[in-house]
Amino acid sequence: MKAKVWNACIIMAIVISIIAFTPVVIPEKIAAPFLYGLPRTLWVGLLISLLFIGLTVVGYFVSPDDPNQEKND
Amino acid sequence: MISWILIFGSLYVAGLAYSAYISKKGQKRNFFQSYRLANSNVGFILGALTFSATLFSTFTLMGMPNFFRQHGVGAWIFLGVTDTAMAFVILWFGINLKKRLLDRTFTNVSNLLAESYNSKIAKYVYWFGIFVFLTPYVAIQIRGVASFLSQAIPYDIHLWGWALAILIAILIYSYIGGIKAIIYSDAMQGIILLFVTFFICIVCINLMGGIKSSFYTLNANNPDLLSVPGPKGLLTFQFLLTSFITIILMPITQPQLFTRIVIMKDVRNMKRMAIAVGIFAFLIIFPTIFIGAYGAINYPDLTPPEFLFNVLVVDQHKIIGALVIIGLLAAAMSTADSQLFALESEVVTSVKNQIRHKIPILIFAGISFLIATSSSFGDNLVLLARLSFMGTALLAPMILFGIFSKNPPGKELPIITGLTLLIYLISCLWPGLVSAKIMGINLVLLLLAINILVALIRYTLTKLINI
Repeated sequence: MKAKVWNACIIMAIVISIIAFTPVVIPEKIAAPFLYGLPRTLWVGLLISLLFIGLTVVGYFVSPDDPNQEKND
Repeated sequence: MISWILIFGSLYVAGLAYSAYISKKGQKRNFFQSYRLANSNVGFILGALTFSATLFSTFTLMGMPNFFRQHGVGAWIFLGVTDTAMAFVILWFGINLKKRLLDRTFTNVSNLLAESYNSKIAKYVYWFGIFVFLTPYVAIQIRGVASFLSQAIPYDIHLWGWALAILIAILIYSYIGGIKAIIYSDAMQGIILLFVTFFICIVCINLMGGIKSSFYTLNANNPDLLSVPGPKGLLTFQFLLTSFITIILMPITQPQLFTRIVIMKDVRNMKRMAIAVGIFAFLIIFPTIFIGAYGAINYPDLTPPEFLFNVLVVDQHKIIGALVIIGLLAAAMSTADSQLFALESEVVTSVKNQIRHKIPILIFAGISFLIATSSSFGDNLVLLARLSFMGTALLAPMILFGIFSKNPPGKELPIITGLTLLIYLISCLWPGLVSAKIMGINLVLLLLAINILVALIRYTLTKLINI
C-alpha cells in the first residue's frame, strides 16, 4: 500500500511541476485576481511551493526507510 | 557600525576556529572517511543546515532581491517553486542513491561513475563539467560579497583584497577541519542568513506600509512587475522552465550537494533533511520578495551594488547592518568552501602523492580568485549563477543512468555528454559560433534532451539484448 502511495506522490510531483508552467500559474501580463494584495502568479506560486513541501512530507511517511524494503513491498 | 562589525566578525572567526578545532580533534581513525565524508554520520538538523547553506548563498540574499526588483513576481517561480520542488527531488534521489550505495564504498562522485560505467571516460567528463561550470560559480560568490564589502566597509580595501582574504580563510579552516568544519560553519551561516533575511524583510514591509500597500504601490509604479515576463521580458515560459529543470537537478549533478546526501546517517535522517531543506527554502526565499519590492519602489534606478548597500545596510539599524555584512561574508564562504572542498575531493583520490593532495584546491582557489577579480565579470549574480546550473545539468542523464543501471551502460552516453558540455561551453564563450537558441528553443534544453534520448536508447537496447 505504502509503495502505491509513494508512486502516487511521484506522479503528483510531476503533475504539479507541469501545472506550474501553464497559464494557470504564469499567465502573460495578467496580475489579477489578487489575494490579500498578492498578484496571481505570486500567490498561486506560493501555493505550488506549499504543495511540493506537503508532498515531501507525505513522501517521508510512505517512501521506504530501509532501502531493501521497496523490494519486499 | 564598525564596532558592531568587529564584534560579530570576531564571533564568526572564533566560531570558525572552534569548528575547525573540534573537527580536527574528531579525526582519529579512518582519516579519509572522517575528513572527506564526516564518517557518513550526519543527523538531519545539521544535514539540513549544511545542505541549505551550501545551496543558498550571496545568490539568495543579494541576488534574489535584485532579481525581484528588476523582473517582478516571476522571480518566485524562478527560485521559490524550483527550490521547494528540489526538496522532493532530494527525497526521491536520496532514497534510491542510498539503496544503490549499500553494496559499494563511496569515495566521490567521479569514482562512482568510473565504477558504474566500467570506464574512466565518465569520470573525466564529470570532471570537465564540474571544473568548467563550478569554478566560475565559486568566483561569483567571492566576487558578489567582495564587491559588496568594498562598498560597505569604509576603509580603502580593494575588491581583490577582500577576495583574497576570503579564500585564504576558507583554505585554512577547511584544510584543518575537513568537511566537518565546513558543516559546522554552514550551520552557523544558515542560522545567521535566515535571521537576517527575515529581519530585513519585516523592516522593509513596515517601511512600505504593509504587504497590501506595497503591491498597490508596485501596481501603480510599474504594473509589469506583477506578472510574467516582467518589465524586461526576461521571465518567459522557456526561461522559467529551463531554470526549473536545471536547478532541480543540482543535488544530482553538483558534488557538494550529492555528497551531503551520501553523508547522512541513514535514510530516515536523509528524508527528514529533505523536508527541512524544503521548509528552509520557502522561509529564506519568501522574504526576498518583499526586500525586492522595497527596492522596486524606493530604488528602481540604482545599480545592483548601490541598491543592495542601501537596502541591506543604510536603511537598517546599525546592529542589523553589521550582522548583514558578516552574514553575507559567511554566506559566500559557506557556499564557496563546500564547492572548493567538493572539487578537491573529486580529484584527490587520483593524486597518488600525499604531499600533492592540497595542490588541486590551491589551483581551484587560484582560478576562482582570477575570475572573481576579472573586470569583465558582471554583477548580475542570478544570471551568472544560472549559467553554472545549466552547464552542470547536462551531466544529469549520465549520472542517473550510470548509478541506477544494473549493467555497465556503455561509453556512448559519457562521450555524448562530453560533446554537449563542449557545445554549451562554446555557446557561452563565443555566442557567435553557437547560438543560445536553436529554432527558438533554448540550446541547453536541446542538449539535455539529446543526452536523455541517448540514455533511453541505450537502456532500451540493453534490455532487448538481455531478453
